[in-house]
Amino acid sequence: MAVELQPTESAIDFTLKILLLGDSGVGKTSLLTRFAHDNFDEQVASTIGVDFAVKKLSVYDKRVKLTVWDTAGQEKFRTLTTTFYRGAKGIIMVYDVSRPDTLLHLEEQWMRELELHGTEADAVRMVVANKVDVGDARRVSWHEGSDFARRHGCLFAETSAKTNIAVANAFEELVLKILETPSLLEDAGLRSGTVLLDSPQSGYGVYDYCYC
Amino acid sequence: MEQFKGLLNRAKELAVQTAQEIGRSGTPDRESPSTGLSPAASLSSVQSIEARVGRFKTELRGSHINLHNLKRLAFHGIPDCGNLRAIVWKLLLGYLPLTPDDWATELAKKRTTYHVFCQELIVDPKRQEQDGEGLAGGGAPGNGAERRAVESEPVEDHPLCLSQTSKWNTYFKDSEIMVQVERDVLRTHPDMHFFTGDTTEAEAHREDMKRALFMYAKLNPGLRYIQGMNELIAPLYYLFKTDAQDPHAAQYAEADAFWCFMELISDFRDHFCQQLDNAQTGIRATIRRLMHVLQYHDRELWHHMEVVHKVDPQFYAFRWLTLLLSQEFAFPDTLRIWDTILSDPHGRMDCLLRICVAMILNVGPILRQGDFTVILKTLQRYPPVDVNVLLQRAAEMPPCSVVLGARV
Repeated sequence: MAVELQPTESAIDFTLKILLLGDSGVGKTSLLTRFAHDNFDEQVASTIGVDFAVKKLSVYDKRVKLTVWDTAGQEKFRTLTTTFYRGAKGIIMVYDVSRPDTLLHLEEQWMRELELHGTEADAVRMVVANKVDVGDARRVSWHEGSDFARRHGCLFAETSAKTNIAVANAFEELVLKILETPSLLEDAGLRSGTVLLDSPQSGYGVYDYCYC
Repeated sequence: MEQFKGLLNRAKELAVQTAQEIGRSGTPDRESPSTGLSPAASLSSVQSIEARVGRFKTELRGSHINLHNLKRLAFHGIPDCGNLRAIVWKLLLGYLPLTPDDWATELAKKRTTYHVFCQELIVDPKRQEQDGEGLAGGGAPGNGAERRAVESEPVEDHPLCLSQTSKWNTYFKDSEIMVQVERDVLRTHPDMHFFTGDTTEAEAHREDMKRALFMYAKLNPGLRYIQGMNELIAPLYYLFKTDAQDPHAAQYAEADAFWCFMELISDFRDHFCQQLDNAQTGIRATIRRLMHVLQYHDRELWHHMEVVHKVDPQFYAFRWLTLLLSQEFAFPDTLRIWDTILSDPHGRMDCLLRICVAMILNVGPILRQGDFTVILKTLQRYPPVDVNVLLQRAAEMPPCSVVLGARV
């Protein structure tokens, strides 16, 4: 396994800022809690303003510190926290597979928001279809989600924070892709010229991200 | 942390029991003079609950309550005794008049008005169509206006009608608000059985809060429902609903919470208004004022946080201010903090800012040694603290209006 969670060494090769975006109630906070603390609560208080968690990973021989930012999903809060977008290297856009409108809003609202406030042109973007544990309540298929992601040049993953399906995997895919993008590492504390050339391709619904 | 909260809650329960026993057996001292104690001597920790309850009861006994005296008492905490806090909050929020003889009339008026709002503003075109067809003249009172409107234009209105006056159009817009309110109410204090779970009680409590928030959204179309309002109505509703001494009041907890929420939010409503985010009264300006007050008290600490480590105060203070600190502490501590905010002689906003500054100063040693991550983690997940110490620290600060040379 190329990725090992929680390196014990204190020295960090570089720090990456990751954002979670998406409508209220799609499960951003739950994804963060699952990823950072391997925990899940059936109900969590709605996020007001921004929330923040740190997770350390080892990716190949690199020690990576991820700062993951969670934000409120309601419209009112979007323009408030523009500094929140600054320097983000990875963007996770989350929708709920039982609420098709939340996928629609990724295009109509969240991607525009990102264009407006994002500072990294090459930031790696990933669409995450959350709550795949809902069974019959599912309203957005894998194909619809993955087509959407491909059309917008994003990685794609299906997850369940509740039953712990593919959450860590999604974050790891994102990190690997960031590591393959030299322009994103310039100010991330990595020694210059160090680029991973032989990262494996995952077959888990991930599309190539063009950064040329 | 959980263990700590558990102990704290247990201690509070014991305190309530003790106070209730005292309330049953003891006769309050009518002759005891109204408090003229210095703030330090009025601190909850150095007084017996019995003595404090007695002072409140004396203060509430007259034919005209002296609000100034009541505020002085409440500022140092209202004892968890019977429905004392519920009554005092209703007075502090101006919901109950200062003349107890008028309470019954005034409450009946307000509760009826709320009931009428609910009947008039909750639009259900399906029911109205049925009523219009089969039950003309019958049904619940208060729907008369709605029904007449439906009757006068029975053909034009239908589910795909785009007209502004369409009942169906209103119904769909309302449903959007309701969905958002519902989602948040379901997520209110997920650690408390009162609000969370499948019990009939919890479901009924959520229904009440949903309706009250929905009514607020309908009556304030410029603001509608904004996330976080659920956190502000929750302590009010909880307090009124758990009023064991006055079952009649508990029955009207929804209406009472609605009116008190209206009053509470009136001081802070600009924080919720997106159009005012950049105005003098909006949330950004309030956060700037908070930073100015922090600079006044500890410029070095402010510099370390905001300049050296570039911690945008929005990242923590936004939630503190919009939710009146209701997500930062254990629930009983939030109630204690609100006692002080509601009774501060310099105003609720001034008080809130001072408490926020006290919170930062209180963890100053951790912040001073910390980097960006430590600072943000500490302030976003505030460590356990004796809130009385925090509030005392805030009480000793000069009013923010004096520090800033302007009303806050």
